[in-house]
Amino acid sequence: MAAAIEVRGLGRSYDSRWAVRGLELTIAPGELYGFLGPNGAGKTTTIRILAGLLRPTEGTVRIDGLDHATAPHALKSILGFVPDTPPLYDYLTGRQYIDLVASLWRISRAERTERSERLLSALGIDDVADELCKGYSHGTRKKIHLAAMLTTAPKVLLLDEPSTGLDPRSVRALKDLMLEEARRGTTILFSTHVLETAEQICHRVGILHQGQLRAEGTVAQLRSLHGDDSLEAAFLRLTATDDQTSNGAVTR
Amino acid sequence: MALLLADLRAFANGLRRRDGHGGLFARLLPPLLLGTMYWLLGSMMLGHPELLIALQSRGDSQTILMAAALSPCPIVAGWIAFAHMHRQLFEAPELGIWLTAPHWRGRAALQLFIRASCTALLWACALAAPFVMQLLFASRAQPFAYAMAPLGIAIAVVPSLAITLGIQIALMRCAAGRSARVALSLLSAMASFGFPVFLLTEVFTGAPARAMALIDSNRVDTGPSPLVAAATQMLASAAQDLVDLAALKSGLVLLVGSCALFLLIARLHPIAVQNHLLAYRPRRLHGGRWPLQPAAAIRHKEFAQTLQQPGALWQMLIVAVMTGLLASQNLVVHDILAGSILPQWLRQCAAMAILWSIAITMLLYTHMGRLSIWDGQQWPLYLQSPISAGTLLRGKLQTIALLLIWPIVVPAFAGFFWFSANPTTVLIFCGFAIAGTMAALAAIISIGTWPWLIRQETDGRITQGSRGFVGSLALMIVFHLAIAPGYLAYHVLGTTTASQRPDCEKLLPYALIGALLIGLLQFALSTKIALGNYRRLLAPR
Repeated sequence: MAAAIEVRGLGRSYDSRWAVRGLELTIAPGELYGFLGPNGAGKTTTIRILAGLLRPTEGTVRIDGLDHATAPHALKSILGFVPDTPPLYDYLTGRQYIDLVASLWRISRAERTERSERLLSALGIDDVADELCKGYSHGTRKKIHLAAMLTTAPKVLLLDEPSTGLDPRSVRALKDLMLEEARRGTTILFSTHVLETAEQICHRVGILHQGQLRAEGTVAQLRSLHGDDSLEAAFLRLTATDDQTSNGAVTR
Repeated sequence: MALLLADLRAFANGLRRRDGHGGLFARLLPPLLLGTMYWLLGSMMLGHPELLIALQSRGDSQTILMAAALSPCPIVAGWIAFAHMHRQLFEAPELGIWLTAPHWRGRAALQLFIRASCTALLWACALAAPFVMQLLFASRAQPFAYAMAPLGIAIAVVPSLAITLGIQIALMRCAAGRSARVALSLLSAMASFGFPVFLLTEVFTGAPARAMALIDSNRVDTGPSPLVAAATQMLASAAQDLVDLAALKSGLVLLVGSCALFLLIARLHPIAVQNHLLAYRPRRLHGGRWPLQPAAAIRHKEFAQTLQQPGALWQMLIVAVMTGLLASQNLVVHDILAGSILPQWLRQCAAMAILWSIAITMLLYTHMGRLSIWDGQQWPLYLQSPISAGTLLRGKLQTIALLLIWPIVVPAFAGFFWFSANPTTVLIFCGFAIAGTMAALAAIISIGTWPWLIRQETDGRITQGSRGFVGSLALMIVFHLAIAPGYLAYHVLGTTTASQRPDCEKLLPYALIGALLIGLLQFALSTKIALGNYRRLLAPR
């Protein structure tokens, strides 16, 4: 089966500084992949390149066999991206925003109504969906944008720090939603600093540090790399120094 | 002192960076350009023979001229206070730290007042100093007069600024609520809208017309406005090598007194900020059925935003009121309507066209923003969505074209009611106005999508960049060039002798078809340019 996300030799520099370099990544369809790494590791840059917001300086990205250079529209149709700062319109209501997004992705009325109502209810925001986005908290804005993106039923969903700003109940709802979407066959790549979330729901995680993938695998594999008793210990070890490398099948 | 130093350090840090240079350039370029324009305008006015005669014959003409030179100062203060500081006063991102730090309770308001004063003084210097300096130079004033000029400008600006900022704080402290928020948003809309209109009328009125207006004001002996009276007296006396101690004293009392009053009101600021936040009440809105097609969805989104955002509707109302005022008072169109060379229907048409051009000029910048910058924060959504450049442009264009019907409707009504134009004349005007609207659309879409004016961020957002002012100037120039054939044709008709003049009624169908074709051609060319621009803006950075 073809990979849902295939990244080869990906690099992106800002001026003369490389944010990401030589990144190799393969994610299977329906996989829930967590991207971990300290601040400035290159997670957001990678996700933005995958989402088509940034052009890679080097390397290639293929999503469901398509790339942004040759088939941008076909690729965008199957892709959903939830950034850290959701691009909501202050003077539209949440429901109007979801309708706008659904129209941009040409989702039929019946599908958008069914999906959006289900998602608004699942995320617990159906009671505020008819208020202007201007008054929403950061968490609500994020949930509205997530609901909008999932209304388009993307084959690949990219999320940048999705749980930031959410209350514990919303984080639980988000995790349930991500698991459910993955069960439906949606490939999900998300970045997070919450190791517990990655441990709970990810099929595989990748640890990015200084623009390079230091290790990837299941949580159990990462823990067993150096005999660490937790993902946190493995994370701290792998991101501790600039030149640290580790041997083994799943390290880079 | 620490806050002041922090601002200065931030400014200095900015100067050391390349993007900081761009920011500084963006801040300084508009006042510099306007300062140059005001310098040219001032020198042309002072060279106007009738004004010179009036200057020599009247002893108080120096005061009138100085008052005219200082007249932009309170306008700048009102613009900065309502259009720029309205949100800053209650929503500045730094308020979180300023209000929680162990400072005097009015310190945050004072810091904002200092920032506002610096910006207002920069703009006031650009708009007032060139003419003041020329007046002093023409009067062969002593060096001390030049040294007093900055103080005079400060006296003309800072009190107005302190009072207008103080009013906003006091209003939010004592009468916070939905009505207060709406009132402030109306004032903000009026200020952000009124200032460019003021600049346009000042710059495009031309030196001879301004000189004549000054002579007229000299004749009726109106005297300087109370807001600039002290500064005017002080500088007018200084121009004649006199130190008017009474004026200096009253100016200083005004300056110090207004600042002291602001400091008193500043104590109310922390609670005013809380009240402002609490005064926001979410409204529940039901948007009805949303269109399925992307272009229609974009159009629907634009209209929903316009209808759900109070400021956007105010703007349309202000356009109608200002156009109605100009028509009812016969202000700009008097000479056109009073002429007798051309047929009455044509003069009425021309008068309505002038009102149309003023009304549409007031809205051009808004619609230019609608094409890209207003959606700057949401641009990542378009970048990641499968919408094509053509679809996005179609949706935006449909909205703008529909909203530009308003500047046609308002002068048409004005012409019918105040110029007594018959329905046929109004229809003829509408035909020419449609052609002009196509020209306006051409200007809006070619400049509004110009990537050179827009900065693309790494997260997909787009921002104004440091060339926004150049963009608005370019928009005005392109728009006026686009409708220049209309001006030119009317001018030629009005200046040819009766024997050489063609029959206007016979010429009308050809003129109308020609205007529509020119408009269509301009629109088609600009659409092609805008499509290319949108493709660039929708590509990954």
